Amino acid sequence: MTRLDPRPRSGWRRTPLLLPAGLLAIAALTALFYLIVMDIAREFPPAQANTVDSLALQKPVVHIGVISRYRPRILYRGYQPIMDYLTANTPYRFELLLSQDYNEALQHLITRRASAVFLGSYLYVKAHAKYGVIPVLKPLNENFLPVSRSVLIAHPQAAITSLRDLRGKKLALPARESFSSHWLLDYELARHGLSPGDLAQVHNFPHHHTVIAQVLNGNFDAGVTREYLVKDLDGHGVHAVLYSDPIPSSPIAVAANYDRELIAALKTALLAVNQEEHRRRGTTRDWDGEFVNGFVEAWDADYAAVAAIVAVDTTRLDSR
Amino acid sequence: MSNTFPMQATLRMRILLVTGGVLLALLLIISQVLLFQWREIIIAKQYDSAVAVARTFAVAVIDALIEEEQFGGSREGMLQTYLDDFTRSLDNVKYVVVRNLQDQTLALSPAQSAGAIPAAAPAAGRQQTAGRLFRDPHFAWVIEARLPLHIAGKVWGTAAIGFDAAPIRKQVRLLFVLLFVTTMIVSCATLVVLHFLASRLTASLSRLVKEIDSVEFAGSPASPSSGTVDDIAFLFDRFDLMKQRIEQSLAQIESAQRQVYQAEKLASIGRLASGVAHQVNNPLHGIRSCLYAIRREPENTAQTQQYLALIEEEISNIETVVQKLLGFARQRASAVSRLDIAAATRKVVSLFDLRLKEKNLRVTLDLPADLPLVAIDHQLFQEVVMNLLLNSYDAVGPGGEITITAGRQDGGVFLTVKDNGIGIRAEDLPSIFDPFFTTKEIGTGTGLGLAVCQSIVERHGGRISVQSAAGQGAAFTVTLRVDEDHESSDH
Repeated sequence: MTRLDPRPRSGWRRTPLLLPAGLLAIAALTALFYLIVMDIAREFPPAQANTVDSLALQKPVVHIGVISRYRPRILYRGYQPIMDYLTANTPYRFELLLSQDYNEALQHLITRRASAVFLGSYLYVKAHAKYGVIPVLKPLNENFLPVSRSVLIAHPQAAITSLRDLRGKKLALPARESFSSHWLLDYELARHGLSPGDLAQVHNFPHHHTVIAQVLNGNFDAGVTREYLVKDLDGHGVHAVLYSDPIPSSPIAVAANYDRELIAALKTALLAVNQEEHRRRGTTRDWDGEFVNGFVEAWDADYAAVAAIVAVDTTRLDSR
Repeated sequence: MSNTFPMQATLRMRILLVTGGVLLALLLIISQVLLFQWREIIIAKQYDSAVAVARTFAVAVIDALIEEEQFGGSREGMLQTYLDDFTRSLDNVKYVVVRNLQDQTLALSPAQSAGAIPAAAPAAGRQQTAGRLFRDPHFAWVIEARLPLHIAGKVWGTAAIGFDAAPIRKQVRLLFVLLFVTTMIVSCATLVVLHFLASRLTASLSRLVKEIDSVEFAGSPASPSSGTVDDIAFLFDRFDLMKQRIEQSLAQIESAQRQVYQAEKLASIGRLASGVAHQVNNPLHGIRSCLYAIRREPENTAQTQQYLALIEEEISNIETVVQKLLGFARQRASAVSRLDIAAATRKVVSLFDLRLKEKNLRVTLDLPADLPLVAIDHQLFQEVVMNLLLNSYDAVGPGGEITITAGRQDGGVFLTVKDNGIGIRAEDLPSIFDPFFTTKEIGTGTGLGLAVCQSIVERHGGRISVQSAAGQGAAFTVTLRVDEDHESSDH
């Protein structure tokens, strides 16, 4: 009878050789693969472009001073984008020139280290009176008006609902040369029959943000700062007690003998910041909140009201 | 079982090699993809972490730079102090370096690594956050995060922090080992499962092969099922059906063969009968002649005695013929038995004596008396001898010669019927045992004689062969196995 022959045609006798050869190949491949896997060297691609236009580096440098109303980092964060904007839209390369205090910023202007300075309203009035400094631009607020206000804020546990409640309380103020400090200390306290001596403590901090932080932390019962800085603090444990009357917003000022071509370029560029359009484009997105709504031209007469409020004594002005 | 082992081994090997190989390759690919993806995640995570730390670091560095810028000499050294504190506070920081835009080093830590700090990044990348992972001759594997020190468009320089990348490599190595071991374990498990499944499959197939080998087609029982409800069980069922069809076919073939035998037998008997009739008729004619002579001269006593003696002699001849015929016919009912083929051959030849003499053929018998007995049906053997003898009778002309030889060969016995007739053409040799093949004239032969001879011989375990060439006669040799069980006792 025919028997099935199931034996394979191919030579399976080679199988004994296949096994060690296969194992050897696997071992070799594994070793090779290990070397490949363990070689982790690489360059990580650039993630954030922050280039400075090479053409800008060739432009003449113009320093713009700024009073030390905020911490240096905050100033750079809010004001450097304005410098970048000006650099991109004028024939000049604008750089910030920080100062240690308000008076140093003024000195930068007087000594021509700075071609223009972001001043406070109070300091401008004093500088104009003494050095003939003149305003060229002033920012618009969220209502597109060139005014600003100072505000008295209080910690909720301080039980302060009116200015008279400040009696016996600890009050935090910004720099002595700020309008906010003078407004409350020299103007409002007197109007409400109080004097600094009626308060438990009055302390001037160099920066507005420090004042806010002190009140928020409860170290001080109340503090005075600029309105636009606290508009987002509702619900964070502080409340506004009293607002100042609107005063002309803080000007960009220049020395009397300013570089007209430069300042014209500066004014043209900043006045071109149409509020709505630029906000939509995001041009002013990173600008300090005081300037995101654009600028209008400023005149010395605009600041007469400030002088009336703070009763400027130009003799107190330091002259370095 | 030894016959089925190669198939099991081969099939199992193929299943293991092919399926296992494919699965192993897939596993390797998957594990490689996983490994590379995982490695990238580890590296990306470490790099992100490095960048995050560097960013935090950069905040303070920028503050320090601003302070130095604002307050000048009074704050000098502040940056270096901060770098030193930073380096000390983090174990995995290998170096920190702060450079200005002119690529001058403003501060670095640790100070003793001044000559070993890797070169700064290309100038084009100094205002972009970037990094690299590299092997440094001094710090070994380092992942460096490089940040521009800037606020908006104000750029002071760059800060680069080199973190120890050895933990990354350690994690990647651990991952590699983990995936390798996992792959090996899964592969082994897969191969074991495949081996088990293949073994089950080949076991079923082996049983089927065993069944096929054991089939005798003579009332063999149905194959046992495979014990499973699968393709193999289906194969078993189909095999049973095939076996039944083969058995039916075999029965039909056997029936056809019986009819062929019967037809050939009738033909042979017809030819035998004509010879017998001739042998009987001749004495009968003699007897009739004698009787006629006796009746014509009843008074001639001497003649009558002479004719009666002749009649008696003729009757005796007829009796001899009848006895031979009876002897031939008596064996029909017998089955396989031990047979002395020499004696059986002589009997067949004796039946043809008269015809052989009529054709003047010379028949030579070389049949040793001591041949061992052969297990074969007596009647069928006689048919074989008769067919071969008739075949030679037809092939030779008058005066021809037929030689019948028997003897031992390779443990069996052989019987050769050789003639010096017309022989067989070479082209006809392959067909001469085919049924109905004949070279004789139409109506002379049935073409079944040699086919029947081959069938009978092979059914008894023997074989039949022919040596012939055209014009050179033919020699048919039948080889049969000896009845070994009885050989020694009989001889």
